[in-house]
Amino acid sequence: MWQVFRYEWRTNRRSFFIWAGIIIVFQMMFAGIGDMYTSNTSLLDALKQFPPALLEGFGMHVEMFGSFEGWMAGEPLVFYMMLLGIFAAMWAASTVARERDRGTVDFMFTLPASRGQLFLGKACAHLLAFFLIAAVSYGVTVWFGHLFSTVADAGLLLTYSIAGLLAALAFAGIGYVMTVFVTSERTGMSLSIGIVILSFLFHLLSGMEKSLAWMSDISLFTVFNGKDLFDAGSLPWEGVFITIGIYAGGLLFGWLVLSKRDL
Amino acid sequence: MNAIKLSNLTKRYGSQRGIHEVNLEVQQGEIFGFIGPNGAGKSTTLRTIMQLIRPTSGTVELFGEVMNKECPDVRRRIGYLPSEVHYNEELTGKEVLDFAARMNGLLLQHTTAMALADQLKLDVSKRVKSYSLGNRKKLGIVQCLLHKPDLLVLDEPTSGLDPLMQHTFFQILMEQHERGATIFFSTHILSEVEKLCSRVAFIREGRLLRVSDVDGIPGKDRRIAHIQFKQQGNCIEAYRLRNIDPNAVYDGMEHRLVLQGDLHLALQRITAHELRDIRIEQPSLEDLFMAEYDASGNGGNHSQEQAGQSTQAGQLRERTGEQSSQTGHLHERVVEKPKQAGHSREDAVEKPKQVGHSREDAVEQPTQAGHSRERSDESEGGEA
Repeated sequence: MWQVFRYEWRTNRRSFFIWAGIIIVFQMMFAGIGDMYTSNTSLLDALKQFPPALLEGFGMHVEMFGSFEGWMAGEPLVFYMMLLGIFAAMWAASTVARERDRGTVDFMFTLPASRGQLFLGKACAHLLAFFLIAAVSYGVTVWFGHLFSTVADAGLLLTYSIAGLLAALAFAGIGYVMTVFVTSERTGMSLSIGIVILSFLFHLLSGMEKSLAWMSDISLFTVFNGKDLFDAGSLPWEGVFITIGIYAGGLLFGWLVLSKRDL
Repeated sequence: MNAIKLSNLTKRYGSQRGIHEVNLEVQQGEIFGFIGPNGAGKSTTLRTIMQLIRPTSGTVELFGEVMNKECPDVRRRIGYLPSEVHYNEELTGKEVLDFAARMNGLLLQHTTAMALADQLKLDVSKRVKSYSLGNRKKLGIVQCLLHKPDLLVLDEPTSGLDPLMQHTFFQILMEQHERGATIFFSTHILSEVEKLCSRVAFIREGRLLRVSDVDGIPGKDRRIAHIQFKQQGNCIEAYRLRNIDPNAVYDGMEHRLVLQGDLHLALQRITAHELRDIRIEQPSLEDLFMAEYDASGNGGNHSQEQAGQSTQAGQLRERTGEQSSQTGHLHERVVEKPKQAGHSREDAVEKPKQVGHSREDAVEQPTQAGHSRERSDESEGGEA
């Protein structure tokens, strides 16, 4: 499995650096401009005129903008969850789909390793990638926060990072389900982006009207609400179980289907 | 002991045909050819053996072990070369080989991979994406051999290789065979089978039609001659070419004759007239099998087969006329291998009475019964 892990890393190296770069730059930017944003009173006044549901959708709570931690729990966390979620779902969806699409399935799956070993070896490589991006993102957030603002509670920022990581794991779980059914890497990629955006849209729309409230139940963006994290200062256990459950369930499902499926 | 044993192996893709009740045994140490037209089920059979696809029914046994669940350890004993070789394009050839070696529990430097790469003139330091089709094939060959497998499963291994590399590849295969490896490979090319195989199986429309000793390949001594005489126009009547081949044709450019039997005599007759150009080809294996299969009424009885001799030649001509480009690279082998004296095809092969049911029905083992096709061929040659 270790060899598969190495191979997957080598194969996805470029994609990893691109996505890591994008997510880290976003975090740097949000951490760097936080003070400029939150100290702009006319902007804050203008925001108060916006429909609360729309602000909620983007995680903007003006009352939280009094601190760097409050700012980072808003819009930056939503974007972080979205980008890391897309990255995770895309990588997971490509696990088998890429091998099929590129015709390398005959090579990979005739090696003396079980399909389960190949699948889990790849999933381990993905997991490390998600962890690394989350860790570096957290590091640059704290660093830029110290440089351009005032970080009062680095532990709270870590909570946000873990929340984003857990949401990404849930999206990866969905990707592992998809990967055994789609035969094109591009299809897997498109579906991954679509599912994350749709999840965000459900989160956005759920607050618009009462009749749409049910949408929040099927959105992974609702599992970790920035305001709740900021207020509680910790992760809700329910959210932790849901996201890890989806991840583990997706992995298990993908593994079982793959072991029975023609390639 | 059998290296491969397929018992009633069937694979259906929904309502689509895959393979149907294929029964086959390949003994350890044997070189076995697997022949069939495109879409016949060759790759499906090979991929089923490699556990890439699961059979709908029937069993695959490898080295006496039934493959009813995943057996990665058995795959360690197999080298598989797919018909189209693909690797991650971002990796170098060496990285691919290193990964394959490690997956087999070996270190690349402790394998023969680099020596094989040298032998095939493959630069493994380059990225896969820079490789031509032939170089990808070479990489595939090295990868499937590096762990010294006991069984080689090769799907059209020479496609994409130039003739020189094909020669080198055959040398490598013979070396593998000498060290005891079993080789099971699909091909379209008669010369490959003649050079290497002891037995050959022919599959069509998912059904195994026959298993035959190489010497028993129907009409393997036939040659197709494409002739341009100095005399312009159709010379069939003037030069009595129908005495050589009753179904000789002139397509406006060249005369096409199927030569069989006494080749020397036939060529003497042809070269009695002034030639502008002559090209002699071996028909492909599929052409030979298919011509006989069609002529015998899709697996009909032997008397039909005999009666259909000239029809076979006509069908063979139709096929080879259409596909001469496929066989064109065999020109250098012109009449180098005369028929083997005294060999009876009937001795080596029997047609199944009923195509593709149980193995006993579909593929009969050689018997001593029947008269010699050679005599029949000779008598036709004698007409020349």
